[in-house]
Amino acid sequence: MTSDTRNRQTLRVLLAIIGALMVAAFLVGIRW
Amino acid sequence: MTPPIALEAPPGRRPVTRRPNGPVLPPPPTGGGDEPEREPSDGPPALDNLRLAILFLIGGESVFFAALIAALFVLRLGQPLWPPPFQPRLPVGVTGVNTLVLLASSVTMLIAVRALARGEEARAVRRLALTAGLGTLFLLVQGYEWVRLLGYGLTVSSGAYGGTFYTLIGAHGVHVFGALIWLGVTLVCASRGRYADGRTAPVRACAMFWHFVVGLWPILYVSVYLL
Repeated sequence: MTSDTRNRQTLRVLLAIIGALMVAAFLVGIRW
Repeated sequence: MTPPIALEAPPGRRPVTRRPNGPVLPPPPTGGGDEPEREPSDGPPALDNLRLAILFLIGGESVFFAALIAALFVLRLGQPLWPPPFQPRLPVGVTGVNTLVLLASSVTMLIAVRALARGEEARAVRRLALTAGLGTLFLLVQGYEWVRLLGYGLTVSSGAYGGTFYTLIGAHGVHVFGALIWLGVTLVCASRGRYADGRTAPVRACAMFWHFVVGLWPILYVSVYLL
């Protein structure tokens, strides 16, 4: 596995975590 | 330490240097981000370690600001009137022009990085300096507006209105200040020729953070000043 492939996998995980946190912040913001 | 032995090369071939204590080790794995630019390829650019690190930083900052904006909306919805009565109005016009100044700094940063990639170092240094100047102007205007608002009686303890304003805009201002320091160091290194021979990764890292700080501002401007 090249460094580029490994980094892209890590980035996908990071984006998933950020997306989940953003949605959570939005839901709190609109008082879900 | 024994010096390497230079073997005599046959006619027409380059001499080979061999270490006396074993074979030459393979080169370290690439991906650190500071190697010269590779030949352009058809696919997307390689995601090196430095770029990934900056994306981690930007990701953390994005969540931080998302939480602050969420807090702003929670506090706003809890108020019957926004802005509350007897509180000064925020300077929408001046800050709008200041927004354009910050957006222009992102354009000059883009030009600087492209100039550096083409090897035009002098042009890149000038554009980096212009970017830093525009960023400094943005901060100075923001500071001036803060002083005026404090004079009108809007402080961080003026309820949710003042508290959210100074927290959100102040957090962004701190980020612009930090990005300016980073840009200043990058500018000094660029003017000393540190990024010659295509080693532009540190400049690209600085540019990524700068674009993030600039891109964040219109969201804050709309959330805090316009809505």
